[in-house]
Amino acid sequence: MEFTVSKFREFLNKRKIMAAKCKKCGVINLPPRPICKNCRSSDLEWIELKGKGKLVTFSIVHVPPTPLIAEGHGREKPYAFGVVELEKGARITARLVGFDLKKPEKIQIGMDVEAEFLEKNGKTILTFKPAS
Amino acid sequence: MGKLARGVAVIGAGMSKFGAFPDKTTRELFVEAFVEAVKSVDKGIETREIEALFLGNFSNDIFEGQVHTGPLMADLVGITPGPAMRVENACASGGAALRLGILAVASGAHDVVCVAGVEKMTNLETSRVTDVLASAADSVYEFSAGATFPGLYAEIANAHMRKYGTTIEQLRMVGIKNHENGALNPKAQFQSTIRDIMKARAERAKAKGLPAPSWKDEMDFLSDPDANPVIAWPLRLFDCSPITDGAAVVILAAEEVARKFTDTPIHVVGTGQGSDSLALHDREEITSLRAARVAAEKAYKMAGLRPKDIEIAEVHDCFTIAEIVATEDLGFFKPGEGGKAVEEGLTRRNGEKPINTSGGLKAKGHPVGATGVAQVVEIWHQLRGEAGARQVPGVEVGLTHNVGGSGASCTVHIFRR
Ligand SMILES: [Zn+2]
Repeated sequence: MEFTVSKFREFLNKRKIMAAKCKKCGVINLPPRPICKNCRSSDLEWIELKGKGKLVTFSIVHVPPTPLIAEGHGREKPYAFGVVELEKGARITARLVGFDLKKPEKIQIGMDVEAEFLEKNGKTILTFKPAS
Repeated sequence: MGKLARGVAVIGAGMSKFGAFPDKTTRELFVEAFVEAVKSVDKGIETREIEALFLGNFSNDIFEGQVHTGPLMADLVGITPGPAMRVENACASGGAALRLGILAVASGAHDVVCVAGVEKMTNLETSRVTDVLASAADSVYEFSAGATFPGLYAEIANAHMRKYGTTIEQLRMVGIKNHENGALNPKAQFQSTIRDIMKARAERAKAKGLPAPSWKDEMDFLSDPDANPVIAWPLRLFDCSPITDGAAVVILAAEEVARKFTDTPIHVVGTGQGSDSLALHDREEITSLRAARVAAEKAYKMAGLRPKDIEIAEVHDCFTIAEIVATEDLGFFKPGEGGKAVEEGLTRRNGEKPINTSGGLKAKGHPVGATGVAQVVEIWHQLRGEAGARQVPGVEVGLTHNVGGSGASCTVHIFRR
């Protein structure tokens, strides 16, 4: 099977955001999945998405789960995550970086964001920052 | 299709006290609820008359290191050797178990079954509970990106506020209302209004010789970042349901035998269930739950009723925004008008559409797997006119709405006296 979680991560490690585009209906399946979420066709192809998008929604987490506590997050050091739309209908959840989290009102739904790849424990993590 | 092969009624209902009980395990919680449910059967019932157990339970694997909880509970009360199984649909585990119990009776396979839900959550520290709850989201693409359960509903809240102009004050009014109801429910984890909580805090500060806080009113208290800290912006502590231990039980019987047990059965007139993607980014909408709309549509159709016919409802307010979205998805209010409805008092006990008279998940508590069944316990009391101080007079048609995770599962049930 081609459109797997591990393939998606392999591409991310090469700093590529790859999605499964449906050859039948044209819908971009991001994250990739083996059967098109729109028309259920399995005739898909990889496409690379540019890392430019818009913020669909977000939150700033003050009470993190244990993996993020281990990274030093908590009430004193919250972090943000959200949903980003890269191309029509192609959305993904990701960490948001480079925002002033003390001023949540400055984070606006609909604002332009761009991908920022971070290296963590030998893995590449996809995050988004305000567009320059 | 979309009809039950034969009628099903609720003939008994009970629940444990909800709260944090360091000395109780799932076993005692379940038995407490079961004993109350059996006692509630007007003409009595023998345990051996109960043929099967459907048990809603979310994550006892992690909370107690114990699975196979269906037969474990069945054995404690003597439902064995009949079939007993655990049903898992995240926070909609109870509602899903209920639906399976209804279908089992409707099919003719069983005449009388027990539907239960139980969750023992307070063993773990909050950060671990946060992990467990977040596992109901997409662990590969959401949890790994830092999503928490409050964080996902915060995403829904932000999107709803942006799209419809829903305000943070409207969210807080949901909490204020549900605490007012919970204050009247002896089984609730918080039997206190927000005003009671403010008073208690002020007195505690005074006793410690600290300067007494001077909140003007509930809204002032809820705006104080020390009293009501952010959990996942914009949601604060009092926007979130608590971590709870508890169990709930209902006994279902085929209509043909229900009168043997009670002269006041509560009839199941509609059942619906829907599903959706786990991840919010895969959904067509973020401000409404498609699974809930689908479940509601099926349940209304089966019942031959419309949203306006529902006189009372218990909806899944795991977060304050969730109640607003629920009242829109159920068709009580137009999309985007749920916040305004709360502000206008329409969802209070004396409003035109009383919502969560039990105190909801917010004040009654949210032992995940028990919630969908506990909602039926409240509707049972209300439709039988036995809800005490929180009784809404004369209600005959009630609805329950139980959501799993951030909306990937939903069950809706409609009951009539
Ligand atoms: Zn397609």
